[in-house]
Amino acid sequence: MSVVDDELGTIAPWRRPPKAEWDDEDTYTLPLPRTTLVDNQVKLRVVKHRFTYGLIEFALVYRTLYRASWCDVVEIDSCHDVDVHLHQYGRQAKSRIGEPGVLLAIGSMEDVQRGYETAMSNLEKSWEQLRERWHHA
Amino acid sequence: MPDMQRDDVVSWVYRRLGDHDFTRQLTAKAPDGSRPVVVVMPEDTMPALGGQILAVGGAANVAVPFLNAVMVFALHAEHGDDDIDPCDGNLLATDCTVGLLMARIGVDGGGMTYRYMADGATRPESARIDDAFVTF
Repeated sequence: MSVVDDELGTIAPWRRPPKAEWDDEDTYTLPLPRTTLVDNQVKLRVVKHRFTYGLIEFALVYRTLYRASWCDVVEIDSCHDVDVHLHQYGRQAKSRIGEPGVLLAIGSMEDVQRGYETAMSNLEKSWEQLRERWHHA
Repeated sequence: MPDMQRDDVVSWVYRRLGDHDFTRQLTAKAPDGSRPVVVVMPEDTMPALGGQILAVGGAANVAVPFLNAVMVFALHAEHGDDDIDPCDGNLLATDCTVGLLMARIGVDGGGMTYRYMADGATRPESARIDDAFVTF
C-alpha cells in the first residue's frame, strides 16, 4: 500500500529505510527453467533489512552465453527509482535500448517484495522471448 | 507435495530466496562472490553436475528434489592432478547419478570429498560436499 500525504492528498514518495538498517548485499547466480547455468543465468543482487529481513531493493540481470561471452539480455530492478522496471538490452547495440518498462510502482517494502516476485515470474515465463528480442535488437 | 520436476525446483528456489533461514544456509560461493544455485535431478550424472559447477567457478549450492522435500548441499569441484587409484573408496562410478551421491551423503555425512571421471577426462575430478540439509 502506498502512503498518502493527508495534507496534500498526494502519494508520498517511497523512502527506503536508513542505510544503517541495511544488511550487507547478497548476490546469487540462478538457473532459469528449461536450461542450465552453463548457457543462461540470472545474477540477482538483493539488499535486505538488517532486523526484519524484508527486501529493501533488488536488481536482477538475465544474461546469456553468446559466442563464448556473457551478454546482458534484460535487467529488472527496483534501484534509483520508485518503481520496479525492466531494461532491455540489444545484441548489436551491446547496451540498453528503449525506455525502461515499468512493472510495478513501489510505495513500501511489501511492494519491493511483490516486485521481486513479479520480476522472477516474468523471467520464468518469458526469458526465451526476451532472448529472442535481444538477439534481433 | 507431488514429485517435483526440474522447473518446479527452479521456481521453489526463487521463492525461498526471500527466506532468511534458507539463504543463510547457502554457504558455497563462486569466485565472483555470488552464491550460485544449481538445480539437478536425482537421475542426472555426476559428470553433468560437475560440469555445471565448474562453469560457475567451481562452487555452488546444489538443490535436488528429495522425496517430498528438497536436499541442498554445498559442492566444491575441481580438476584433479592425480591418476586414477582403483583402490580409492571415494572414486564414484562413471555413471554415478546425483541420487546415488545423495544416498552416499546420507551414509557418510558432510565434509567428504569424492572423485569422478568427467566425459573425456583422463584424471578424476573431485567434488567436496559440505553443509547438506533437507528443507520443504
